[in-house]
Amino acid sequence: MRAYLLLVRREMGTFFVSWTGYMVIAAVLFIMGLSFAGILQALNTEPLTLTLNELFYESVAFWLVLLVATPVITMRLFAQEKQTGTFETLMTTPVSDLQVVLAKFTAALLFYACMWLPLIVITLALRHYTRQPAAVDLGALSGAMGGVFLIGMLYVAIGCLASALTRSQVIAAMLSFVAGLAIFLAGYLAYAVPPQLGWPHAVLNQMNLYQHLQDFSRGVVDTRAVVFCLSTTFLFLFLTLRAVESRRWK
Amino acid sequence: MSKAAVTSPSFSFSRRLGAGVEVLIACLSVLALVVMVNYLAVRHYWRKDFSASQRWTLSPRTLKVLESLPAGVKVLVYYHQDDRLYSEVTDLLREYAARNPRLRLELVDPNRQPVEANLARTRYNLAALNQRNLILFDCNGKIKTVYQQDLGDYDLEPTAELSETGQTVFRRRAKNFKGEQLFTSALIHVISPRVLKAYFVQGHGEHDPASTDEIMGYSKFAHLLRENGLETATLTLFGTAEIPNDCHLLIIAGPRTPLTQDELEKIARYLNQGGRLMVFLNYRSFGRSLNLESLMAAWGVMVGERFALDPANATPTSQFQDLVVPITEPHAVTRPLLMGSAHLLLPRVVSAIKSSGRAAETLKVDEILHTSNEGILVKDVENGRPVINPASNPRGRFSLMVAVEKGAVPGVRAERGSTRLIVGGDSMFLSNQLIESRNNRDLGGHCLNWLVDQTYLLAGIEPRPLQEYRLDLTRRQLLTLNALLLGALPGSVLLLGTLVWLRRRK
Repeated sequence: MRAYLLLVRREMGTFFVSWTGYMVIAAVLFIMGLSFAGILQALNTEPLTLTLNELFYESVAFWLVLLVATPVITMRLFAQEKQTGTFETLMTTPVSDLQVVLAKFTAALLFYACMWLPLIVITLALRHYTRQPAAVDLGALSGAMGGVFLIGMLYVAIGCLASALTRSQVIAAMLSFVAGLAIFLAGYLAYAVPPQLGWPHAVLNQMNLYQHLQDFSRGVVDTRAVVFCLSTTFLFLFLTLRAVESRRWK
Repeated sequence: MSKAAVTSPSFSFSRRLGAGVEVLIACLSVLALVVMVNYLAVRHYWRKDFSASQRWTLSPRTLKVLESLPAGVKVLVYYHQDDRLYSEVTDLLREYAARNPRLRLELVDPNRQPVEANLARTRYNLAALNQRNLILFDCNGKIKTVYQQDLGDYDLEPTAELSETGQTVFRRRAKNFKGEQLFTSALIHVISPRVLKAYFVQGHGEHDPASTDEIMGYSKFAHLLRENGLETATLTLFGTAEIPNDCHLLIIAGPRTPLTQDELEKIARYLNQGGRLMVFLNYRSFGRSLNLESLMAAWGVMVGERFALDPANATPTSQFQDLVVPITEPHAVTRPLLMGSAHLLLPRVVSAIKSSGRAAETLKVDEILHTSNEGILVKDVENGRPVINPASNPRGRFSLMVAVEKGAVPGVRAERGSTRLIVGGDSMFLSNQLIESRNNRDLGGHCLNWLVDQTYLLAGIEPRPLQEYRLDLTRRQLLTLNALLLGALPGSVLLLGTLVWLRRRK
């Protein structure tokens, strides 16, 4: 456990002692700001029936951040170490492969969570300006944060796998982005596939991250969404572990 | 040859292949496990609304109905995405579908999905409905339609804008969303084996529901009844014939000759048992007593002897026989049609009697359609044309249609529920000639839906108030907020990054 915590700390340190972490957070804040500026403009022009939460999570900004920021966060986890040669050094230390994978995943996830923290502050500040407490439902806000975390787990796990598969950070980021986009679009296909088709619709519906996040942003918790995010995270982490272990027999 | 060169590799190809197959099997096993877990999750799930407003919590009644849904219930949402209440409708129905995957939801936007819209129009004959947006519930061919107009309660709200004449501009604002009430009611209707029946009284020159006559026929109205889930039949009340027990709606449309005392007694009995009655009079009975007048008076409705005209609102080609009356009363029948209009032909005056003989607390009589303040009462007709005498004809705002509801009496349960009546001064507005004019068809549909309304079965499902959120920021405040969001917040993070970089450099 101690080794795991040390590794997490080391990984977190690499995010916050370099420019990368601050650049990512600043870019994310800027995109969030753009989205909220649009929402403010809309709410100031005419009354809307959607809450601030729903308005934000239905916007392109959220998905843009999720699809682009997670590959940037995760691309260096394994690929950079392999490229610089520190990966073999790490693997010769008395830590298991599982500890290494979990530590890198945890660190990336914690950084991802830090990236979204300002969103809570911005939402609560805007709630003050609307003078309507119902415009930001605290239950819905908690649900939305839970949803963002769960979906983030899945995307960070995808990024871990992509980074473990290659030595190049650029390829890792591209792989991660494409895989994340594919999952997002596959879920979106649920709207195009008619329910009469049966299981294809059911499968796509279960993968529909947009719908899952919409539920979370309204404060609705559905175990189907929770199970999907947790189980696929587990799958990608398992694949990452196998990819890390593959150096022993390749 | 050196010794090393002849030694076989310690990690041979077969070993590597073996390890690779092992990893592949392990990965496929985990994938299968993930698929199985998700399969079970889809079949056995738990869903809970944690929001403070509980906006997405369905009523226990709706949940019970959804639990009992048979396979093959389809909901077609034929709705323009940009129109009012679209997101409320789709979100609520998605919540229904999330609760029971047997409910198949099909969303069709006629603008964005013209092919699907065309298919739906052909399959369900939607073109005949003349509706822009609707939600259709289909269970093995049994259909119930919910129209957009019925989905919300509206009121008029003044805006900051002024019209060219300097008057305040009003906007139509949805106050409540009645989707759950209507959708659950429609689901009950389509899955229930019970069939509602409407009887047309015949024998006094009334409109014939089977007649396709272009002027007097009532076939289009009969079609409207079927679309709303009511079977139609005709009925004569002569002799020993009684009003059947399966009569959910009795329609007396445009009688020309008087009803007998025996017939009136049967109708009175039916009404006292909680019957639902639609009476529309016709200009062809002008100058004659139909005996219905006394029965109506007992239910708080006065049927006048004269026609009400509204020359200012007559169509240009008519000789003042017709009138286009604006719908302004916020009654349950007319509220969805506020700001619309009805096209009537020589209507008789039908108004509420202020002090009815019945207990005022149980009998509710509402006038739901009026002429403008420039209405004229006319008593003479020559060659089918009203003779207007400006000197002697009374002027004012006259009532043309009345809705009556007898509230439940504590401790008394009527066989058919609570009595409801709609009495109108004109039957022609639902004839084949005029039913498609203005909002006549919708008005007819709302009248019959209100009359056969069974939402009393759905106690506990209340309309949801529609909350609107807005900001009243000045331009300066907006600029400050934008500067904070786009400049200060990302800038401060970059500044922090720079400080860390500088410190590490030292």
